[in-house]
Amino acid sequence: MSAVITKVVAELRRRRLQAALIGIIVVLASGTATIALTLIAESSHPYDRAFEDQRGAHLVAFFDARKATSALVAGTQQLLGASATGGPWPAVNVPFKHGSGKDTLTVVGRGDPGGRVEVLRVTAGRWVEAAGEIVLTRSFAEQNAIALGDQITALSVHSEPSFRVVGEAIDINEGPAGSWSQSAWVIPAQVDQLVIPGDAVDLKMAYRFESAPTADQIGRDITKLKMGLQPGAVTDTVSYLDVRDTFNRITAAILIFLLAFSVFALGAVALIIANVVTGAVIAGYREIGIMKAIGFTPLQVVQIFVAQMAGPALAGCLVGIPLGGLLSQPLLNQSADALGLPSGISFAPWIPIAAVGGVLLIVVVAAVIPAWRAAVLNPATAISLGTSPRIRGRSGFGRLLSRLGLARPISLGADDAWVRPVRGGLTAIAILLGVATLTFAYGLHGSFNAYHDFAPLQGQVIVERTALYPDASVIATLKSQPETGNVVRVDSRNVSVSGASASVQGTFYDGDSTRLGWLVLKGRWFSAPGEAVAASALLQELHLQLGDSFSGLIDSQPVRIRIVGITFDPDNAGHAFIADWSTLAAAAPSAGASTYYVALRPGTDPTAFARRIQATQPDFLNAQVANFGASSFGILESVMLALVLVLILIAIAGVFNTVLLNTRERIRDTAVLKAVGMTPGQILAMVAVSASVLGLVGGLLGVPVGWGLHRGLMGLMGNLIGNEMPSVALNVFNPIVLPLLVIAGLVLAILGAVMPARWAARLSVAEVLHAE
Amino acid sequence: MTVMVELTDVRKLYNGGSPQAAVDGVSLTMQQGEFIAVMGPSGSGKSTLLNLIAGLDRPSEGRVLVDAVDVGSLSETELARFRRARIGFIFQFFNLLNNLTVLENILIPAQLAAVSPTVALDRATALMNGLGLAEKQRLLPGRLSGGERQRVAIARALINQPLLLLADEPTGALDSHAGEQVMERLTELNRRGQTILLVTHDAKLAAACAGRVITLSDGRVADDSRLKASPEVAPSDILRLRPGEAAP
Repeated sequence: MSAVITKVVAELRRRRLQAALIGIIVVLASGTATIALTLIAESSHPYDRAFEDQRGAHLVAFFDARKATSALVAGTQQLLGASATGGPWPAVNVPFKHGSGKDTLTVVGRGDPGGRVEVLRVTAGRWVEAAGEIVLTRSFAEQNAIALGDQITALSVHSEPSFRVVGEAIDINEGPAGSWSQSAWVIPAQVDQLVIPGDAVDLKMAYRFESAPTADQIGRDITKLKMGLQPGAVTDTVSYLDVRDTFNRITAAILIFLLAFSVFALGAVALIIANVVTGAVIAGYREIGIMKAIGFTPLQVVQIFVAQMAGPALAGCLVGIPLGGLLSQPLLNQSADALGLPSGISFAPWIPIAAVGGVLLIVVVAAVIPAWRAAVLNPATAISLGTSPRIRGRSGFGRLLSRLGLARPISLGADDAWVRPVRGGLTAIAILLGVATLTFAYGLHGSFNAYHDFAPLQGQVIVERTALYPDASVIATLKSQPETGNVVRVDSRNVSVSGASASVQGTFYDGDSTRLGWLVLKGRWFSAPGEAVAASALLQELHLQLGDSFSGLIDSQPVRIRIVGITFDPDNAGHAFIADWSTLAAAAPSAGASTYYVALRPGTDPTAFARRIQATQPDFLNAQVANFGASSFGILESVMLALVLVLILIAIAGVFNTVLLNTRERIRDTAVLKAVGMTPGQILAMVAVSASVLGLVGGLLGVPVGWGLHRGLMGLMGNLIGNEMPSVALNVFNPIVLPLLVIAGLVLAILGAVMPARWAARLSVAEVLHAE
Repeated sequence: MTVMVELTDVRKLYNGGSPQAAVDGVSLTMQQGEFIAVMGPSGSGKSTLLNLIAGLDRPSEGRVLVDAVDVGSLSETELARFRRARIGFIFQFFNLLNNLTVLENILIPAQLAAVSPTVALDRATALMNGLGLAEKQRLLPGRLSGGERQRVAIARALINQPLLLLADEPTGALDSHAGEQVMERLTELNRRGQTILLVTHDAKLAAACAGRVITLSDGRVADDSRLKASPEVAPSDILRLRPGEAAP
């Protein structure tokens, strides 16, 4: 065995605590790095990956079976030049009752979830095999708490057939339930039995092209379909781009936070590793001098120190990386669930390589620089530095505290904090990152709660009717209830607006809409025909100012809309406006409402009211209490919580390491102080103060950094959903909590300092001074 | 005369494989105002004895009374308070805090004992004047000579006006001139009534300063002799008292 290896093995045996500390920090570091890299890798393009895995359709079209035969529909593959197709499958829209809820699902007759296009991934149960069985989307089943084996009832025909849920599947060509209409699958023969009298079966066809088409190409393909078949044959089309946009908007919001805080975590980890390793090398100066004195070359000295650091670091990686990979899975699954995308064990092979490489690179660089500096010293100097490490004199801060009459242990502790300014600075930054993350997480939570408060319609009852139940009857039912305070009829239409890249969603209210609770950020609520309030994205896209007007088409009829207010409306990514019913009626006189917002008189229980309304026409009405909670923010909150915990742990580990190194380097001074009368309590106080100074600096800087990040990232999130963030969502920091967040930095520092402080307080003066 | 230190059958064992006694059944008393030199070869237990009296270490057996306080029965905190109030300690290698100035080093024990800042500063100024350090008070220890450092250590040891001054080889790291100066200071202090226990290898020093020499061998008191209260005691007189060593 070479002298270098012998020495490395001996040193690792001798410095077990140091090796263990490096190992533990690297476990945390590599684990965090792995979680961060996995989340970034898996969250960046989850939809695109799932789309490829499930051979998603670039275009889905529905055809009226009365106007296009199955053979004709199948022949459209050649018409469009699609490389592969799925279908035609019979499809029909069917209202279903499940428990107390009701929803309309597009029921598709499909004997097999596989195929060349739009493969359905069965995530629970099995595929349909017989009549009376149905498979739902996982997203819909989860949202409505429908379990395998539950029965749901079709309301489209008088016989009201029941279906047993036998499976859950993910269809990559539809968005999550709640923001997208959902499909359900039965055996093909049963579709005909569900058609509403007077209605007809549609044929669903899925197309996949050689290369991913652009929006223009999709538009041209749709035109080709419409031109190639008789008028009215194409009843609906769905572009994969629309579905992808829905997912990517949610993903992008999550990704912004992940990226910001993963960088935080990685940065903090790099700081701490550098601190541990340089500290260990500095503590080994004397050893370096002795090694050189007995004949080791400078290169061999560097090799020995790098190996001493890299060995435990590699061991830490071997534990930390699998642990990080494992811990990232629940977060990934939660993220996938939130998106309605498939989940499962996923771990890109480049991640462990990048994590090990990155961590080892930091360790080696952090070790090589001070080791080389020590290795080129002459042996006598290295030995003398080893016994008396070079530290600067007292700072003015300690002297100032001393002059202010503070107890001596406090002023000495305050000085110790900066006895090694770089080490103290790096530790303060680690605390800063922990406090900033905590501050941000607090702000984020406050913003989500604020959204709950300022979202419109909160606590009001939303009633929806099926086409079979007349509008007038719903109004009569609602107005006959003594608890009804205000009823607003609602209809939404796609409005073609020149200059807008996609269709704009127009929502029209009939009734006193001022009581719906919409937040008007600028301007005022509409009060006359042709006036509207809109989200900021619409104004930006059309280059409009408040008070400007734009023209559009509703049902091919021209309308002129004047924007009188800006509201917060994330629908359609902010490409939306709300106007009075008269504006719609001018273009579409026969328009009817299918949704009703009911404000109740004070003291009314909205849940009981909704239940009663539903009970009046259980097959035709669906009534729910509006509750726009923070459910969709769950993944963000979970990720934030995990990152806060990791960054806090890293900050505590950083303080522990710094205080340990400082107390070890100054063990002789502590022994002298003890010898001249410093009590263990005063030593504890001195060490705690030294850490607290770093904690206070980290806290004082971390709170404004976290506050600024919150404002910045919330602004970015607002851009993603096409809205300006309202001040109520930004000004969420309670003035009493801000000082507490600063104190959190102090607490982190003291937690990290407790163990080394106790060791320092307990040291034996006789042993230390004898060893000296 | 008041008894300042009383050791009764004190043993101190160290566990290094098999327990070994560094101090083995030592009993002795020291009166207030005495200047005792403890001598003996390396490993004879001199420093351990000093540490036990200073409360820096605890006896394995027996009792150590200093100013009628049973040192072994005190908690760590009580020991620290005991040291700061009653003991002044001078180390061979000075053990100054390198990042504090001369004045700050001297003031530390007074500040720990919460002595009023004005009183502490007055005492420190008087000590610095007496020890020739007034010009150096703003310097860091690194800028001082060995003799100056040891004088700072003496001032630090005296700032709380201790009943007992313990000195562990105070001239061991000094050249002969600086060593002599330090010993002159100690002698002067004793003349003014300061009780001093000095550990030294140097028979000449012991002869010049101490009124009593205790010789340790293998942790036991091999000899305890009072010297004539005369400065003319020769080192050879002391060496004659030490068993197993011939006079040069």
